[in-house]
Amino acid sequence: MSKDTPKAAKKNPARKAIKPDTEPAAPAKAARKVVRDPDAAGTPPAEPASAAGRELVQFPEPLSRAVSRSGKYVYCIIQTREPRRFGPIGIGSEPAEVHTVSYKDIAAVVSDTPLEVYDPTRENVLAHERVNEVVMHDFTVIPMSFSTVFKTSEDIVELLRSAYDAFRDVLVKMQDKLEFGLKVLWEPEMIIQEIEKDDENLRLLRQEISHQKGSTYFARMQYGRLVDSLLQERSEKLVEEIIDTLGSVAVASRTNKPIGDKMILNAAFLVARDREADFDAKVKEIDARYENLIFKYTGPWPPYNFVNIRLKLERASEAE
Amino acid sequence: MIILDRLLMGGIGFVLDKIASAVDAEMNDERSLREELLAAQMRLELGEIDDEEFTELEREVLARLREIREARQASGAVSLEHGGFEVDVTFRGDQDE
Repeated sequence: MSKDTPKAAKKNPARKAIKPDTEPAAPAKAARKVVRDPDAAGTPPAEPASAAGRELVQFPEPLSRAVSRSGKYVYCIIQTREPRRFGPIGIGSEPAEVHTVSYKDIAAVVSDTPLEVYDPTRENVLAHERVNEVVMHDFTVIPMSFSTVFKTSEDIVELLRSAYDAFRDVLVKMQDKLEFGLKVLWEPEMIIQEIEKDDENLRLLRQEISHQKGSTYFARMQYGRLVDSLLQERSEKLVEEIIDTLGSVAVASRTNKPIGDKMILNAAFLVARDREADFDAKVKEIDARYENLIFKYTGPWPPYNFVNIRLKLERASEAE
Repeated sequence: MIILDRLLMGGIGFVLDKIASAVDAEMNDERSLREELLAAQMRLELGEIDDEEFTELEREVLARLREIREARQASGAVSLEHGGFEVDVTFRGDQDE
């Protein structure tokens, strides 16, 4: 496993921190908050958002670049009347001071950066996310996607000014809400065996293939097609059940494209802060209900999946 | 440690929409490279590949991403000082696009 992910996170330490675990024997398949403790060696955080108080890891990657900090890397948008500073935790090999650039009562959380595109390495992505976690401790955030860099503070003020009402509106909608991620995976081989137990046609086809002399091409084709459609059917049914169950305690949900062959659901849920425990309980419930599925449960996140910020530049040259 | 997907994919964030259609094709290439990176990360998470193999895959994908960017010669930094842009911020409550 990567150095960023302590093994202990798999054992769900964060949940214990939220409330005393009254079900000691419960298998903790759902690894809640996998990413919340990138640098804690198994020490459970005192409270969910305690990342703010944690020491920051300096990334050793040496970068021999001439550092002229002439751009502004934007992490998120928040509501604040006062300028704020969040410490020297910015992205890059020499972490810069994270501070705000304001327009009226909203502000972008930024750090000075060389004018460059950051590679989505684990280190960089974690640095971006860590700033958002620190800010989330005190504010509702509208997260920016990775590697959003503006040339100057004026550009950022211009961004905030032009979409001021929309930013305000979204900030209100996101107030006291958290995003949680749930990925559901299965082992297709195992599911096929299960399906074969239940489906007579499939069983007969398989027997036919194993007893037939000569070419089994068509029988195998037919078998393959039947397996695919049965897998599809089962996956859709499971996904619907899971989304229905969790949707009942969430404000909203979104599904993204599954990653890889084994994933059947890649979903994000927006949950009211005061329903967090209910949501947690529901995830536990479905985790226990579906023994053959693997659940990857993460959060709380800034609402990455529930805000869309689209900046349309009319002239291509403007983005250079 | 599946955080890349939030920062890179899934309709998040900040889309730079340049009008030129040539750029769209590049964006698609970038998108599929990012998907490749995510898939590799998932396999790492599932223990199907080890850290070394992941690092190797990551290095390849990052190099190809860099090539695309260099071909575009974009610094990635956005300037709005000359106007000519639109910002659209929306709450996306429900379901896929």
